[in-house]
Amino acid sequence: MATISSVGIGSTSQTTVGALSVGSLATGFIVATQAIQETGTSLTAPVVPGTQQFHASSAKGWVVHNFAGTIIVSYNVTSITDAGTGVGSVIIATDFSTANFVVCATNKTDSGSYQVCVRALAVGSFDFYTSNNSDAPAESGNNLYSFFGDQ
Amino acid sequence: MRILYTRLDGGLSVVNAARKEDLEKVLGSLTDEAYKAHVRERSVPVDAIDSIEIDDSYVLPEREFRDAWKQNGNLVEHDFIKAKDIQLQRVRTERDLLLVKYDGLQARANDIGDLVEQSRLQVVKAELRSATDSLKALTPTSIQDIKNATADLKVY
Repeated sequence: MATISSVGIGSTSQTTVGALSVGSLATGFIVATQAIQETGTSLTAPVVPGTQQFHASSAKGWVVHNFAGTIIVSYNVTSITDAGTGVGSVIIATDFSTANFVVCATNKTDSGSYQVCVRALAVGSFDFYTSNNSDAPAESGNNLYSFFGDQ
Repeated sequence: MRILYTRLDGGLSVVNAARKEDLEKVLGSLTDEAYKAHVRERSVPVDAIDSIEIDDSYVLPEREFRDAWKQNGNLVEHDFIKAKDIQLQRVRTERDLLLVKYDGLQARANDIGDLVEQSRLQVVKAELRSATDSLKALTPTSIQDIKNATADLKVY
């Protein structure tokens, strides 16, 4: 296994990484920066965990919470606000660059059928409304979200 | 970490923060103070009233009347008038479905000239129309008062 003490030599946008040990890499590679990831066209810049999420195809965050708003697991989410039966907000830890981002939302429940819709998308939050088949606000199981866009 | 605040519409919001270690995966290392400041800054709107952090061990009331919750300092209580209105709406919704059902039965009884059934259905529908009377007359002092004054429509 080759040991690389620095990468990106000779580039103005280089990111150097000390004591990087990657078997297949050789000197001269440029570790993908946030800008490289967001451009998303490089076929040579290797990606490291700290910048992986900046690619357009990557989820910028996700969360599972129960109907009381308690977070079970999450990434890049600051909090869930419980505002009433079936309604609340997801507060995102890092703002999107615009309010035009994508949210995938669903409900996991052991019985019955519930819908989740999202409303009031802002750069750092969105509201949710969980309802039953009569379109009445309702609570059951967990709500699950992932969100995509430019941050 | 949880925060209570009252909204301008009078409703109560409860902020449930992500775990500090989960936020640190995105924001880097945080002191306890920086973690709480981040949660408060992003989660509590500027027009929030009486926002206050509550202990994670504090047990919130049952959610059956969630929309009747109100804030009393760092406690959550029920607004019994709101709870009564919520219960009235639930009874009305259930009753309206039953009235549609009994209207259909009555139309059928009328068509075949079944006077006994017509009379019975008139009584049932009158009972349904008065199903909210006791609840409407109630000045509740507890959730149990509201439940006790609620007509049981399952018998219909």
